[in-house]
Amino acid sequence: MDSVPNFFGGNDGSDGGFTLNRVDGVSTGTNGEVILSEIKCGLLRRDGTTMRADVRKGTLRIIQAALDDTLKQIQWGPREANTGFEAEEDFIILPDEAVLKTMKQPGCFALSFLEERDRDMYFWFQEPKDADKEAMLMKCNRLINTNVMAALGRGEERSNAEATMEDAPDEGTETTPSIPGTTPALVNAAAMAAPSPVEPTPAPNMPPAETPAAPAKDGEGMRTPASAANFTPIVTSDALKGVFANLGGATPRTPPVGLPEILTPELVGPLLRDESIRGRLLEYLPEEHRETEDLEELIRTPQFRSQLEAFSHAIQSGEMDMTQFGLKESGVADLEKFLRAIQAEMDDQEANDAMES
Amino acid sequence: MEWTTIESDPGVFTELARAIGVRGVAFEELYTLEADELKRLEPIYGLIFLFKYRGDDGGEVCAIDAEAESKGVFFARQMIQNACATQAVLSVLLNADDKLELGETLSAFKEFTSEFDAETKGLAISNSDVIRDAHNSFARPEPIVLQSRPAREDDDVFHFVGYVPKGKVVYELDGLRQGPINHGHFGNEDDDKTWLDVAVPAIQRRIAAYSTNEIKFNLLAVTKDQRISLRERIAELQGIGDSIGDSLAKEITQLSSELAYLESKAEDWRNENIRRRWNYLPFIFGLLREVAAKKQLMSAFEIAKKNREKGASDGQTH
Repeated sequence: MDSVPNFFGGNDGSDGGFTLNRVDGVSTGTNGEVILSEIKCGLLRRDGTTMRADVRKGTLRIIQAALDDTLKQIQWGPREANTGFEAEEDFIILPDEAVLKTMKQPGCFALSFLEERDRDMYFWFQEPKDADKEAMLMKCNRLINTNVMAALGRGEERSNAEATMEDAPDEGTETTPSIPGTTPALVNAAAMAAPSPVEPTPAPNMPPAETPAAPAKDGEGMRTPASAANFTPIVTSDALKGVFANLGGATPRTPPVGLPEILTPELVGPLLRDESIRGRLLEYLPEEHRETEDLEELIRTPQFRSQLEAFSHAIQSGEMDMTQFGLKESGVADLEKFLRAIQAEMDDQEANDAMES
Repeated sequence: MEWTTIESDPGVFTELARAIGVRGVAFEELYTLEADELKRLEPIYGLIFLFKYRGDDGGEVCAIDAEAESKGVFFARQMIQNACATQAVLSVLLNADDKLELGETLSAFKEFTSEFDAETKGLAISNSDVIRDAHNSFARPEPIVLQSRPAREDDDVFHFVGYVPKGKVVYELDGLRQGPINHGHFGNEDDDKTWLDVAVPAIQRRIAAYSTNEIKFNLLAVTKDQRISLRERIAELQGIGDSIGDSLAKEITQLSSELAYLESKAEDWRNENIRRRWNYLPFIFGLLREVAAKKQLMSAFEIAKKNREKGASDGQTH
């Protein structure tokens, strides 16, 4: 029998009251319940538009329902030394009622109730860093869904809808950042992950040791022109700003204008036929694609338009600061500000060139 | 150790297969299951059915064939969502290795995993650096990562299912199920059914169910790269020299034009893959600067805004 690391124990080496009979991945709890799956995780609670982490260590369990062993029960309870498991959340889950999925915020996952959004629950992983968290979620999903892919599809649809509900920033309104120190919006789940009997209390705020926003994966198949030194890894703003800012159920209004509607083939075509302009732009393109026809075609290609859209979204997201573009402006970016800054820069350059000549 | 999402595009898969060492294989999108079209693409090593989830899977409930794996069918459980496409590609290729050139990497992989159970095979795929790196090399560059990623076209949950013949049986390989599904025999003494005669009706039933549920789907065929056989045949005919007759000369012309078409398609795919991996952000900045230098930037913005508002007030809410 494999020895089980003592995650549940206290400093005195006790086993926290659990009896783990690891037969076929199913174990038995102290009250004789049949535990089908467990994930070590903490709770996240929605507070308006932010998430507050419950710093306690806990476990999410799926068990055979006590009343009817054809049904399943979901429980979450704190992991405390020397006591048996006491569920704080405890409810029957019907097949296909809900699905577990990772959230955009790294280290976090949600239990999404497909038909009853107000029952949604959120958690942050407390499993070791190299645990296969996706596999754990999938295992649970197979327990509570007859058709996992359908459930994920419906869950995905919903969270995509939420993610696109961006408020076009009004003049003078800033995205309110969570104030470090007073609002522990999110703990660094990674810091909590090391399995040891004495686990550090997470600091209420931290620029995460592992930046949730991954810098560009240069070298992993991505080619960036050598002259693009200014544009290598633009990392997103502080992780504490705007976390879950899109939750809140704003209804989608007319989406704001984006770069694809500005950089149209009609506008850009004539410019690309100009030799001197083309000359300046060639270094930003792959060697194989530097002929004029290639350029005009490029603007229309799905690959280019999709990157253009993504960049446009980033500017409009309210999460970027003007300073991240290397322009002489600061403050939260939006498309108009961004375009004006570029125009201003070009105007300055023109003025300088005129003075020098 | 992450797998990124990649586009489910025949050009991507063709190059992906090449990147992991497979030779002589091409992927084609199928728009019809008519016999003529399938014949044109022969030999077909397998079919991959991909669909976006929008609701209930209209697929029929089928029993798992518990004997299949012991008969040599390679089946792996899907362990990672993002690896889905590559997993389906592998499930076809690794079951067709008697007909195509797997290459060193996949041959070694098949050997290494031959005694594993389905879940462990799935883990082996997830943990394979070579396969994962090839897969990830098709990811779109993301120079900016937001906390809240906006929804994209390719964000939908895709699922991929492979159909492949092995040992005179047609199997359906779905990484989310427990094992291979047996759709029936072919090529027995008393009939001249091909494997497609068995697979196509099974797929058509699936399509019918999805159409009623408005589920979008695509079908890809894994075929032999026909350019190889075309080149061989053309060379053969040209070798006959001056004594070649009219009809054979005509054949050369026809084959050459087919070959040219396939080469140009391959060229298109090559270009698409170059664009997929290129970070266009510096170019976009450069372009915006040029537009600004011409003093056209803010006016373009105003025009776009007006058009958008006009569209909205015409009742076209997004």
